[in-house]
Amino acid sequence: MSNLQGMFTTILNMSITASYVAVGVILVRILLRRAPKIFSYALWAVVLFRLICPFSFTTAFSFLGLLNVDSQNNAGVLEYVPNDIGFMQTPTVQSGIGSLDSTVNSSLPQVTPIASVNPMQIWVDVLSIIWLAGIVVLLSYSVISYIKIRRQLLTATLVKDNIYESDQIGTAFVCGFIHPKIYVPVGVREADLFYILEHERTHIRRKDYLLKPLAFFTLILHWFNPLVWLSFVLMSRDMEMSCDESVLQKMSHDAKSGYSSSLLTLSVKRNGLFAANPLAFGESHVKARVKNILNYRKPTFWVIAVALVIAIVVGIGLFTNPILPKPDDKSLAAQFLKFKTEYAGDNSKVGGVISLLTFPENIAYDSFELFTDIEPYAITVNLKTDTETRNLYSGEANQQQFQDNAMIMFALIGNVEYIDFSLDDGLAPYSMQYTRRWANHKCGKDVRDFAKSKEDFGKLINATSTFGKNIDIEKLVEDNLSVILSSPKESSNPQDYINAHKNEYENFFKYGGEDALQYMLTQFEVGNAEGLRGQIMMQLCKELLGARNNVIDESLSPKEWYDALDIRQEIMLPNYEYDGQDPIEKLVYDTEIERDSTSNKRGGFIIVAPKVFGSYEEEDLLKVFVTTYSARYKLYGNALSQEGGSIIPTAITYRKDGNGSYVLEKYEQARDGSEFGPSIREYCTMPVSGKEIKGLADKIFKHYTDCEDIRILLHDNLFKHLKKNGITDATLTNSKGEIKFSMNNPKYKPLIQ
Amino acid sequence: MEKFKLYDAEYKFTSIIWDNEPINSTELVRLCADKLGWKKSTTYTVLKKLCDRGILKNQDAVVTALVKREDVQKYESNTVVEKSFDGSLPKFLTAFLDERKITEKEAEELKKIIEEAVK
Repeated sequence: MSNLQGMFTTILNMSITASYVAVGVILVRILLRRAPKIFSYALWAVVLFRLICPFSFTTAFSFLGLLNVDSQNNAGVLEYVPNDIGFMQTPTVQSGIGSLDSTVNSSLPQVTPIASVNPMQIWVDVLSIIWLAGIVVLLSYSVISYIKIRRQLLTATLVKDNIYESDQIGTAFVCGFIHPKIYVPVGVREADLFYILEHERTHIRRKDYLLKPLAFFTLILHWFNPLVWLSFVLMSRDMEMSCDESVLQKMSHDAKSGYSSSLLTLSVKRNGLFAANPLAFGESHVKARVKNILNYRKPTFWVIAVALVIAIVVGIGLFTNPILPKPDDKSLAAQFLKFKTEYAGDNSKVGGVISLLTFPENIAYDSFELFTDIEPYAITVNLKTDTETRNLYSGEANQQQFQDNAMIMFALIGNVEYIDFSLDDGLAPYSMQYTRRWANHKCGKDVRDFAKSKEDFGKLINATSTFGKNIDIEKLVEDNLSVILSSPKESSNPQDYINAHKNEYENFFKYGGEDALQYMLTQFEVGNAEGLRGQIMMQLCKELLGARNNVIDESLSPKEWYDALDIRQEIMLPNYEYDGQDPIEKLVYDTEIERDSTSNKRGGFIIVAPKVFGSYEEEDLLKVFVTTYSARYKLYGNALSQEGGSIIPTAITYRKDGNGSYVLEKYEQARDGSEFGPSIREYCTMPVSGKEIKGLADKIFKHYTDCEDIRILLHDNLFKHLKKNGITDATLTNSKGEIKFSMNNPKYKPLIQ
Repeated sequence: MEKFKLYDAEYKFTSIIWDNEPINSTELVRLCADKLGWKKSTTYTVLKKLCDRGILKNQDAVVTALVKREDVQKYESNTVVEKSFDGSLPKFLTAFLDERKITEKEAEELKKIIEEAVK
């Protein structure tokens, strides 16, 4: 992302916000038609602010909340066009107007995976250059004409005070930034001069001579936006009119005709160039102004009061940003809460809730029915499935997910009393019915309380899958076991039974875990583990134990196995420590281990294997590009178990502090899925200047497709680490029983020692 | 006769010189700053321009005028008569006198001027 593109998208976003604000101000101006123009004039300050400041405060009564914009980032910036649009897989903008967005977005180029450069990026490039060119042209035109005027005004001759006259100009104006002077054409009648000077002095008092150039400079930045041009013209007009009014207010009532005729006299001689250049201060909009002057009446108290209230309300409403859900509110909880409703009869909300529910495999959502004619209200969700799946879920032990879904629906839909899930296999529908009483009883309070805030609702979603877990582990184990044991009767191979009831088997790991393991071990202890039941429980225990299982002999019967079992205690090892000399590698190792260990609450030790692609130093920042293989192991006796691992490309930025040591500044990881490529390209830049580093991203991609070197390095490091900690015998086997790593096998030893 | 065409500022500037010539250029800068609100550089720029056109002379830092005030005024009034009254003096006078009363003495003077011009 180059700075130019960043600036351009920032300006573009400000322009869009300001456009809404400008439209608002233009509408309110109509309302304030009869009020003193100072109010209309003051409102333009909000537009100006929006055009030059990307941030604002957030209030509940921002009018921008009326727009359907979900595009505020957490720094108080309204963002319709994302800053990284050039790098998005599917570029999208949100203007707040649905129909416009769909047109715009469908016209935005999508990424073709073959092309090395994202076509949208080229577009952003081209547009930002056009934008810059426009600024250069307009800016040089204004500066040149300003210099020209200043030169002509050099020979203007002093009349008195700060008033000068010249025969080079056709109209009166104020010019200069620090010591503004009033310039009048020569030969202005004494009577006219009086009014003109009063008008120009008012401009100076109000600092209009500074405001207008600022507004004009802003206009140049936003030259592509016609609404900004319109705003500039209207703002100038309001400025002049309110200035006129202020002059009239100070004068006697009959000054109107004299003042307007002076205005006319001067306007006849007006000179195009001066009027067009806002850096000097011309008179304009003569017709509208004369009308305004002639219609002018000293405003009554009430007119001022009402106008003041309108201006303040509109001002604040347009000045501030709406309180919008934060970006992380795309979370499931927030999405669910969007559809929260008091009434079961609210068809679209209920449909919204149901659309977000997840159902088990092989079950497809079909339709829902609302029974809201008479209380108690009920909702039936119709689901389609095949007979086998129907039978599977007709056992109560497997209905966890339906219970969760019912819980969510009871929380979000205020007055529903019954919820039915109807599983239709086309032959005999099976129905699961839940009541609000059940839901309240299960969570120990009114389930609707969970829908009061996003945080609480998140808790509900997280908790649903664990409801009942602690309540009755015995029931969970026995129910699932009995389903597994129910079929196929003709077989004596335990594996066949397991294969026939995969879901029940999985339930042990999903909902059972350590508790189920303890329960089953007790069953062995009390001798309630005979025959097939014992076989299947042994299988489950072995899987739940993993490397803690010390019995290697697979031929033992369940009872023999249990007798031989001596559950291995975990041997605690520290995390890997880098012992090489390379200072950059040392930094990277330290950072990666530090990061993993802070997020590691599940024990074990961490080994990392980074591949450094390059490090770039700029000013006091050091940016290192790595792809790190990071893995967490546990060691039980001589059995290693890999608890997790990941290979993630990362850019780590350090800041050199006063003592010359490096402190972690920023840690940017490649993101998942479609964002993977773009996120790497995004961070492949110099640490300070942000300049793209050519070819680096491609190097990282290429390496990622294989990663052979860091896979080997990981095992090298693992070996070194174990050896350093006095471990001489350790083996890692995968779930199929294949040896992946062994300290005894030379094959897994470091290649070069 | 374009030589006598002076802009408002140039005329005011030259007037200062007519009133004070011969005048030292340093003194001129001071007077211009005082009466016209000019910077030193502006004074010198205008002075140089008018010297180049042969209207003023600046020798050894002493400034004098090479044309007379009457010549410039004559040129200005001619221009007005030419431009706005098709070169017709009667039209000009009619416009000038428009509803304005002149004294006997002024009328006498005018008559004398006209008689002189006819000869």
